[in-house]
Amino acid sequence: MISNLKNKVRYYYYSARKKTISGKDNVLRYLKPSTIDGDVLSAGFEYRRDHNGMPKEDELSVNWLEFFNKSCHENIDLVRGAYITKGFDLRKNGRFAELNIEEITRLVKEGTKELDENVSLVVKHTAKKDDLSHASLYGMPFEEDAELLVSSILADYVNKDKTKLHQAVKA
Amino acid sequence: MSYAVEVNDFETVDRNYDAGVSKKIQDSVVRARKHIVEMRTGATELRKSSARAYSQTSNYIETLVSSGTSFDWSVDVDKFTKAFDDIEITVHRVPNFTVDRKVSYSSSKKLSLADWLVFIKNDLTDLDSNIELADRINDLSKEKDDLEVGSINSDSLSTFVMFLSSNKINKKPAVGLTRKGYIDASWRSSDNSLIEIVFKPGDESSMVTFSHDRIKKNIINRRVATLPIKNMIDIIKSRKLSKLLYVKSSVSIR
Repeated sequence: MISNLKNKVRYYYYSARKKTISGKDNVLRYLKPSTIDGDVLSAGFEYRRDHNGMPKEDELSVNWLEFFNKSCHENIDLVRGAYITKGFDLRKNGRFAELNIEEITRLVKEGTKELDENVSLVVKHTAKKDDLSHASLYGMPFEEDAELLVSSILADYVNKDKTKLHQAVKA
Repeated sequence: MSYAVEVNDFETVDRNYDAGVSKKIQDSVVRARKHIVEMRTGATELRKSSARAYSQTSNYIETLVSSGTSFDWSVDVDKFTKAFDDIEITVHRVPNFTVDRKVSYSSSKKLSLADWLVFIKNDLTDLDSNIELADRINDLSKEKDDLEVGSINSDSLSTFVMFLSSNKINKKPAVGLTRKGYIDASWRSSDNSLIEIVFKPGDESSMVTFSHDRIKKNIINRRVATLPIKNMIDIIKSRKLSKLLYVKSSVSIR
């Protein structure tokens, strides 16, 4: 009861604050099995879109890894727990991709110089009642080709170092 | 090694083609048919050889179509199809496939996912891991969570398979699905070059390439565009990325 109340208070505090997360920190992005086939595909980092092709959202859902302030493995476990609490069906062949905010921001900035628009990623802490470490990756382009380029840069970042992929379901 | 000789004969027919389309198709059909019979019953090498011959028959017809040669489909394709009536692998897919590509994609919709899986397994014999690819597509067809359209988009799958087949790509890509159910395929190399294509319904698809700059090798050029599928292979070649799509085969047929 007290724990629930505490979480509620924390949720209101964090959601009101909507803090920009430091570049040194990391976020986890859940990748469905349909977006991994040995390598991670850019499809793992795309917006949901409606039938007219318009994005249904302006952010990609991620989880702030350092939020819980524990060891890396414990942090990942807590994120898994939040997904399960939310009723999300984590799949055995799914993975969490660990993204360092500073690194992906730099790579995306460098890799999108030739696009018409400047792409600048920002990650904010957007806590949810049942997922306090929830965060949002803002700044992905809405135009589909530009989005594909940024998504493929993020996928490439993970593919270069597969230690950044963590089992979605604990073995 | 008689099958090898026959494959060469078959290619000779192909190379020397200039006139008398129906007669030559019939000749090709007879040979391909024999090979397919062997494919069903023979040893592994025979199967490979036969499958190639079969694939060459379809390519042969495709060449006729793309060169604009006067070609009576109602007569010649019918003959071609009938020649394989008793064969388990239904050859009607080949003319369908060819006609679809040249004329429209509409008839490809008649092919079910199961048809495409058979097609991948039996006809994409150039592909290094055709069975693996068919299995992967089959797995993806069961992925329904969080997709906005339910499952694989059949037009996207058709475009993808045609791309592999018409360009004789023999290296299996990593294959996934976008939220819309489009096939997302990527080929990577150890030097961090990349080709990634989202296959969309229709004539155009989106392609991303990462390639090393020709002068400053440490610089990677990242490009994205929506392009006609038929132009993609030329663009890939111009960016010196063809090697990502092909593995060197130990078996070669002259």
